[in-house]
Formats: sequence, structure tokens, C-alpha cells
Amino acid sequence: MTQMIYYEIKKIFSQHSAKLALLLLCVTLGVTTFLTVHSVSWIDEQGEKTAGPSAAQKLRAARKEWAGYVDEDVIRRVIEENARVNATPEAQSSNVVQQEIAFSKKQGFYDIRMMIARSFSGFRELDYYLPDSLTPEDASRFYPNRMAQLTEWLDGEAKDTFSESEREWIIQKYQELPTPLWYDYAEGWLNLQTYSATIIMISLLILVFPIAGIFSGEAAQKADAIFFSTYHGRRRAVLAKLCAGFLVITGTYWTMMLIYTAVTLGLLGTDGADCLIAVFRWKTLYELTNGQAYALIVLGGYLGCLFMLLLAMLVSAKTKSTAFAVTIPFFLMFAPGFLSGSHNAMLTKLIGLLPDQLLQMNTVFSLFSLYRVGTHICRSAPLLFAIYPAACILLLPLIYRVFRRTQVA
Amino acid sequence: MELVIENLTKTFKDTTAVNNISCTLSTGVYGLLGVNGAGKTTLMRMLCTLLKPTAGRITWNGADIFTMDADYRKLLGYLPQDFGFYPNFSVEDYLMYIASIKGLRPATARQRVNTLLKQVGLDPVRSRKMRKLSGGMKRRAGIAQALLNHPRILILDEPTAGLDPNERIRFRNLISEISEDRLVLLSTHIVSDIEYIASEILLMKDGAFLHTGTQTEILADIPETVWSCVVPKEQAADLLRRYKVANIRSTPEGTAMRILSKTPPVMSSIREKATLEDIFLSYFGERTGETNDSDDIL
Repeated sequence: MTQMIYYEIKKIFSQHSAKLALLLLCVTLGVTTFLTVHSVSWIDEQGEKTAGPSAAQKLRAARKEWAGYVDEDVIRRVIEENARVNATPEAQSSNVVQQEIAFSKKQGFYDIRMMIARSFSGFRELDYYLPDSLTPEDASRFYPNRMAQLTEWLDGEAKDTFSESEREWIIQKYQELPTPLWYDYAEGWLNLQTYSATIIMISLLILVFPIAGIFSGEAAQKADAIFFSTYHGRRRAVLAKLCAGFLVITGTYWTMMLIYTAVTLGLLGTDGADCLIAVFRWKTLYELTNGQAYALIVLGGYLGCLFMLLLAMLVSAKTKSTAFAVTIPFFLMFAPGFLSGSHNAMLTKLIGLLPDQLLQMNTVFSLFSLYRVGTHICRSAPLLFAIYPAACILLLPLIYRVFRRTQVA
Repeated sequence: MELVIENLTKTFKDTTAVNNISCTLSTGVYGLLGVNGAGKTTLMRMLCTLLKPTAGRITWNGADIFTMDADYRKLLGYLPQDFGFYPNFSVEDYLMYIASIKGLRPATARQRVNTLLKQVGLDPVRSRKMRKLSGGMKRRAGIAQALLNHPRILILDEPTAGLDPNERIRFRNLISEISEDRLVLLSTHIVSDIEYIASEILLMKDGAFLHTGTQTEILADIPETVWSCVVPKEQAADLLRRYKVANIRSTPEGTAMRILSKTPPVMSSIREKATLEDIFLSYFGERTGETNDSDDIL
């Protein structure tokens, strides 16, 4: 069996398209890692902007001064410090460089200032400048705002969206959030969360090219007659193909993600893994730390890639067409985009459970999609993590059955 | 050791490729002779469990081959007509891969591959990519893969197609060497291949067997007589229209013709001994796939 798998993998990577795909994956990895690391910027006292690992080091030092529980006192200090910087001649100046110098003094408490902006803006709004108009006395409203805005939204705009029990469930989730929240510098994790969807989606779209030909390649190369006439041709050789596909998907995906994660965290820092994502996504229904959220994003990406690529393998086995099989992930990724404008509640809920959601778990954590399973109410993420592993497990024997029954006319 | 075909039929939509055929095959070399489209490949694909019959059954020593499944395929070696391969594999890798899916252990496979590479004359190019092999070399690699598992049943579909005369002779010798204690079924439309190595011949046309038997039996049953004659060139065209002409050659005396007919085509006709070429023409109404010197005479 090991030898069969070895040759199946060799078959995949002996093709020029697979070699090109590997090269593209390396380029994608390099470019995405570079963009992720260089998305962190630092503005020095002269208003000069730098980006990358050195900027991250300076930013980390500045933000570490504000690390700790974000209680009323911290909010008050941020409002005061923000007001103090706003009162400086640099902030008052219309000169861009002077304004940058003023901003440089806010970088340390920038994240907490953004928390304040989210807390005091409307439920589905974000007024960046709102903290500039607050007074230290407003600090006491920081946490109560979260619940107040939620109930206002549930009673108003979202009145017909949720049932009474769903409404209560959401409120309960909000109440369960432990406050005050713990804050720390977390640029490494935040940028990983933001950019990981890019690398996951591009990896999927590149990986489908070598994977789609695993089964259809036999017919395309007219090697199927010999293949199916051998002892293992309708048994272990088919399993070997499945294993090879699984290993190539798994190996490539996790190698990409491990390198991406290790390099990014190595250059931007691992701090902030224990911070709740609510610090940076004020309205989220998910009580997850940055580390947990990123682990789910990567795991979701793997499940999404695995599901779509197994589906491509099934189509390849059934239709003997590599070209058709290649279109499957493209369709599954882009078709939901055309449906997302729908106002139909059922359709919206269905879209929230399509496999493309697994590729962008980062956005799923910001959604208010609720589903009823029996008497239980649940969010989309747990459902996605229940549906798609099961679907993948079902696809494996299905591909095996479909391919082993192939007739060679 | 008996491969029995019972009332075998295979239909594709409106076309019946194999039409209710029956026969019993045991040890020996069987030549399946027929024109293109006769149903030879479909029959062979059913014998290799690549296609399920629409009706009828095939048994090996009494057991249905589709029920035997892998146990039957373990006995099988198959070289398809349109032989596919993995273009970026080396010859050695290709054979090692096929050996693995034939269930050979790696050490046995290595030994067997080395032996076969020498036997088919591909040892010097064992590291060459399959896509860089000549047509004849690819065919030899195909024959080698069919022999990897010491098959009891060897099915070869047009194995000599595209081979030059030297390679065809080499191939015939190889088949003769390995045919002992084996059932070899060889399909071709090249009569000479069968003439030299087949112990039994199956004549197939329109999905059915027209005639089966040894060469002698088949030659004895030829429905027409073979005649040779030399006629003026202007008469040759007329004879070509009226009779099945097996051969035609220009000579200083006129046009020498080999004709199949129940009665002498011209007064000066001489009765000739029938060959398999004549049988082919008699049953299929056309000459074999081999080219000869008569092709461009008129």
C-alpha cells in the first residue's frame, strides 16, 4: 500500500501543472507573509512611517504599556490621554506630517481607543472620531454600552430577524462575556486572522489543479484499462489514490499554514494569544481568545479545502473530466457571493452554512447567524465544524465506490 | 484451466458490439482475428472485467469472473490496444508502479522488473521517461507490464500495431516463449502474427464468431477456392470489380492476380493452396492490415 501511495504522489507531482502549482504556492506563501508582516506600521516622533518587524517591535513596546484589564480607570486614562494629544499643536495643525506626529503619540493606546469608538458608536456603526468628543466621565458607560446597544438593535432594526428565544440567547451570550476585558499587544494574531483567508483561498484554488486529475488522469492518459485490470485496480489502488489526495491536501495545507504562522508570529510576536477577540471585535457572539480564534480559522480553512477538494475528486472520478473537477472550488467559493444580497431569511441562513464560510472563519466570528437544531440554538461556527467533517468522512467512501465501479469502454 | 464464454452480449445504446457469443478457451495461443469494429476490443475488455456484459457470463474454472473480482485479475495480464502510460514516469518507475497495483511485493517486483526489462530489450533505457520512448519501445514496455505478475491469462489487444517488422518478429518469439501453460488471447487484424503463433483462431465479425478452430480446420473450411492467373492489364480492372482479389502484381507478362472464387475466374487460372490471408479476405471481404506489393498496382 505504501508503495502504491508513493507512486500516486509521484504521479501527481511529476506533472508540469503540479510543479507549477507548487511554485505558485511558494510565491503565494512568500507574498502573503510579506504583506502580513508589513501591514504593521509604526510612526516615529518625526512623523516618519515604517512597516514590518522593526515597526512591530516599537509598536509592541508602546502597547505593552497599556497591557492589562481594560477597566473604567483605563478607559478614563485613554480618553484623557487622547484629549491631551488632540490639544497639542501637532494635532491642531492642518499639516499632514504634524498630524502624523500627533498620531504617533496615540499608537500605544490605539487599540483601546478603537474599543471606545466601537462601544460608543451605534450597534452597526463605527465613528472613528467619536472618542475625541468624550469626557472622562463617559468612561463608566463603556461596558454598559455594549448591552444597551444590543438591546436597542434587537428591539429596532433586528426586531423581525430573531425569535424571542433567540433574542434571549443573544442577550445571555453578551451577559456571559467576562469583564473587564484583558488587553495586550496582539498584532501577530490579529494580522494572521485578517490575512489567513487570502492564503487559504489561494492555496485551495491552486491545489485543485493537481488534485482534480488524480482520478480523471487515468482515463485522460488512457491508462485506465491497465489500471482496472490489475489485482488491486478496483480496491487498494483506488484507496491509494484517495490516500495520496488526502496526504497532498493535508501536507501542503499544513506546511503552508505552519510556515506562514511561524514566520508571522516570529516577526510580529506571539503576545496577545490569551486576549478575547471581543477586545478587537466588540460585538462578537464568540467568547474566544485570539489563539483559539486563529486555530479555528486555520482548522476551518483545512476543513473547507478538504471538503471542496474531495468534492472535486468525486467529480473527477465520476465524470473523468479534470477540467470540470477544477471548476468545483471556484463555483463553491464564488457562487455564494451572488446570493448574498438576498433578503430571504432561509437563503441567508443557508449561505451561512456553505463551505466557503470555512475558508473565512474570521468573518464568521463577526456574524449574528443563529440556527436551531432541535431545541438548541447555535451559531454557525459550531455547525460548520459539525457538518463538514461528517461530509468529508462521507465523501471518502463515496469517491471509492464511484471510481472502483468505473467501466472502461 | 478453462475460460468459458457463455452467450455473451454487450450493447452500447443502439449498437451491439458483441452479440451472443460462446466459446471455451484453455491453455494455448488464441488468435482473435477480425476487421476494426468487429467487437474484438469489447470482448477483450469484458474478459478483463473492464466492462460488464449486457447478457451472458464469463467463467474461469467454473466461477464467474466478476464475482471472483480481484482473484481473477490476479491471474490476468492485459495489454490494451490504445496503450496509455504515465508520461513523466521512467520506464522503471512505470513498471514498479504497475507491479505494486498487481500486488507484487517490492523485492519481488524489483527482481521481476529487472528480468522483464532485459527480456523486452528496454534495460538500456530503464531510466528514460515514458514520453521519450519510441512507439515500439512503448509497446515493449506495455508487454512487460502485462507479464509482470506471471499471468495465467494473457490478453493482448493488437500488440503488434505500430511495430516495425523486426520488432514484430521479436514480439512473436517472445509470445511463443511465454505461452507455455498459459492462455494467451491475441487480437489482431495482421494475419501473419496469428499465422506464426496461434494454435487456435477465432474469426470475429459484427460482434459474432464466424468461425473458430485450428488453422488447418479453418483453411479446410474456406467457402471459396483460391486461384492465381496472369491477365492483360485491361482485364485486371474488370476482375477486380467482380472478384475478391487477395493479391495483384505487375509482371512482364501482364498482371498476376490471386483471386477467391468458387469457379475459375479465367480459363488459365491455377488452383492455389489457401492461406490465412485468403481466409481473411473471404470472410471479411477486405485485405488484412498488412501492406504488400499489390497496393499501388492499379
